[in-house]
Amino acid sequence: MRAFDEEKTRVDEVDRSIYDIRDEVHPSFEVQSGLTESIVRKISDEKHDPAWMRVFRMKSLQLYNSIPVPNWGPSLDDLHLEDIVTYVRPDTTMRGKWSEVPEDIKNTFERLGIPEAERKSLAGVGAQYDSEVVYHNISAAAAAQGVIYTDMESALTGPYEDMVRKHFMKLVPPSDHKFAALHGAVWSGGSFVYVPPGVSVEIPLQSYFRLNAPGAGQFEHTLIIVDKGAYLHFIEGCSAPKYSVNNLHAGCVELYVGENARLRYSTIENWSKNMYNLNTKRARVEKGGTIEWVSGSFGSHISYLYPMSILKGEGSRMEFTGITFAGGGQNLDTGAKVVHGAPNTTSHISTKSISRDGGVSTFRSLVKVAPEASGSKSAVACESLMLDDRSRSDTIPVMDIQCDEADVGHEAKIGRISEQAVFYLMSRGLSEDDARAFIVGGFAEPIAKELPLEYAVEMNNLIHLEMKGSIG
Amino acid sequence: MTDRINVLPVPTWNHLGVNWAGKEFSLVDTQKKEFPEENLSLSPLPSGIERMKNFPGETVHIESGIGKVYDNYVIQHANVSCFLKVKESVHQTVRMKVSVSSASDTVIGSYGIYAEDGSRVTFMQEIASDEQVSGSTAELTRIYAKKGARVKLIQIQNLNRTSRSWNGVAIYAEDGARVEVVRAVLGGSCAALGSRASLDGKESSYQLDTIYFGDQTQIFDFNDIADHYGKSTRCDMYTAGVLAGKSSKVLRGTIDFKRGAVYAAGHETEEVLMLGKSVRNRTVPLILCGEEQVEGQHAATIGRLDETQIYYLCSRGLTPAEARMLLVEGRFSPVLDQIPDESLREELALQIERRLKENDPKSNAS
Repeated sequence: MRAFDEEKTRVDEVDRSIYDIRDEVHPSFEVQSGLTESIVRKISDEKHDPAWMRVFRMKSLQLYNSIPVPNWGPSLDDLHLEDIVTYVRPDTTMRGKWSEVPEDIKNTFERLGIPEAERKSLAGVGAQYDSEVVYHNISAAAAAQGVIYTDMESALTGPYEDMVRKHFMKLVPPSDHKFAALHGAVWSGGSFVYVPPGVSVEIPLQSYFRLNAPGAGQFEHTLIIVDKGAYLHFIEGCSAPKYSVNNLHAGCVELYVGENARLRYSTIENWSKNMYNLNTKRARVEKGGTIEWVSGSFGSHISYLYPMSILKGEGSRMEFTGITFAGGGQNLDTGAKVVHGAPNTTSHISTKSISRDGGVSTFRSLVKVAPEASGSKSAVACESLMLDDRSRSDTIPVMDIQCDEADVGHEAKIGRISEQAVFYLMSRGLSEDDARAFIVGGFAEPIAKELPLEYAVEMNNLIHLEMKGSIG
Repeated sequence: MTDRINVLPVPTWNHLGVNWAGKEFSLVDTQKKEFPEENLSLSPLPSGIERMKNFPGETVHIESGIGKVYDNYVIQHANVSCFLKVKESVHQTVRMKVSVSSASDTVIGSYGIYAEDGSRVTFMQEIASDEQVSGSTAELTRIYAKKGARVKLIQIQNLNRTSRSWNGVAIYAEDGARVEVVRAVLGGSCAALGSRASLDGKESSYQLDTIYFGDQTQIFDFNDIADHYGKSTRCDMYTAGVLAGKSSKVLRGTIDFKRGAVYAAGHETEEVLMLGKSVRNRTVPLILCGEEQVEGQHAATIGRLDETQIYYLCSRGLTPAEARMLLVEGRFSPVLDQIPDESLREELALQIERRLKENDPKSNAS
């Protein structure tokens, strides 16, 4: 049953060369570092907030000042908000053509492959640079279906203000935790999506968030409403170059999935290793609806990231597939939460994590089945791979079951590559290196297969696996 | 005493209420009460075992799953104590029974087993109470297993529904030592249990088998920890339980692979049968890992009995009630089968059957 091998498996660190190229910083406007009423007011002024949003920001600031720092996750002692610049407006306005985007910013997104991906495989793209969206476009075909895809600022101050007001931070209230309150106070940028009833957006939309300014925070807000019977695949990417000072990302994603609708939300997060990634994502799913999360966490210094699904309607469903890769200097606390709040709801969580070179990976989860969720089913499987003895990998799941008519299963495994599996593959003709590469590739495969081909390739580039070693 | 007990080794979201036991488990600092000798029975000690006045000093650093503050409280305030030194292999079971009555409604019991190199012993502790008394029992059992020793501890808690109980177990295992703990938790209005095994010695091992049955408004709170320090250490933790009525339970089970515990393996399994609309089960199975050459697994199954299994058994001639009892017995047998006293084993099985019938509306209907 036990199978240990003596040889080390080498898995290269994530190749960050294209992400670490910095642009010269020349914002058109930025606030002072720190967080004060005056700074929050300035952000409201700069963004021409409606009155209700001004009040909302100030209330959120009060909450931020009253809520303690989390005492249960990775240490945030070295995150000093007084050193963080919460709003940096790039020296451009939002454009609808890449040719109109300033050269240096455009080149950055070119390197990241965003315009090319748009041409090849996306129905729309939003590109945020520091605190504001610099490019937003939706394909004519998607627009003709009635799909709305715009930046949050336009949505808030334009014809969709009422819809925004009805949904904004209702799923993630600022009182939820300290960094939700921070988000409520200083949020800027992000995307708004509305998919009308019955409309199926056959090719994905993508938002990409790039943080360039050192010592800055990014607080984009993503609000997606997929109406009854509609379908959307939304892809979120993010990256930043590495600096010697801390950067902070405290975004917020709110997803409303209507009756019998389906939303797939895919993320490849590749923040730099000076980034505190304190992001909050939440979905509410109505009767017969489905939320699918695909999540790859590769970057950041410290992450707190647990996408949450509230299965509010009968027969609603969630699937979460995630992979986390923690290398040297990284402490990635990731996982998922699901609340079964209605009968016959279903959830399936499958995660993988790899720790190497002193990295710390923690899988943290919650499965809650409310008393009224009879006939619900949940299955959780998490698997961790430790690649050296300087790293850590912890698994901290919680199941809170308050309904006798439910079936909940949970499985977790931790270990290293099975020598028996290597031996078996070698007996079928593979070399040892190929066998090991095959096994590690298989370990990461469940997430790769969930992504569109181009993104699976990107992920495989991110985890450039190089296997070494020989039996002996 | 206001200190937290049954603290989760690594905290998680506070609002879930699982980072430590709830306030219903707060220990009340009471005056030490005398405990009548007649309420404690101990089977005659075979040769090879001697009773000690105090537990050896080298064990002071071992800690139960409830926590060090609790352990010190019990050690300092104990009104019942029993410390055994096992010098060689003993094949007969040493039995101890503590009875809670109106004359002895507060038990603070400090027990210990000090097993010398290569020795072997089975120690069974039973605690029960008169129906009419609202008792309080706080117990601590420390086990120090020296090289190659084998210690089996069987604990039967069958208190009435108005008594409160705390039960800590602290284990230290040297090279090649093996400790098995078997627990049946059936009574008490609220019961906190916390075991902690320090597997320090090479190839030392630990097995924990627990069954519980909660109904009415019973609250159970477990904190079971296996710390792997030594090479090639192994733990297996199995818990099976039934929750009925308005009962609730928190099970924290932690396998902690410390750096250097190469080739260690730890497995944890839990099965919970939920009967009743108002039950609540919280399960928190942790695997903490600071060493690469290990294998850790946990699995939990929570919910209903499998209807297809019941259907199959009914097709073989069993009534639905018999089928359900058979499936529950299957889950409980890893513990019940290890109770050496046949009459006690049957008594517990009958109690479980009776409570299962009382709490299963389908069974009543059939």
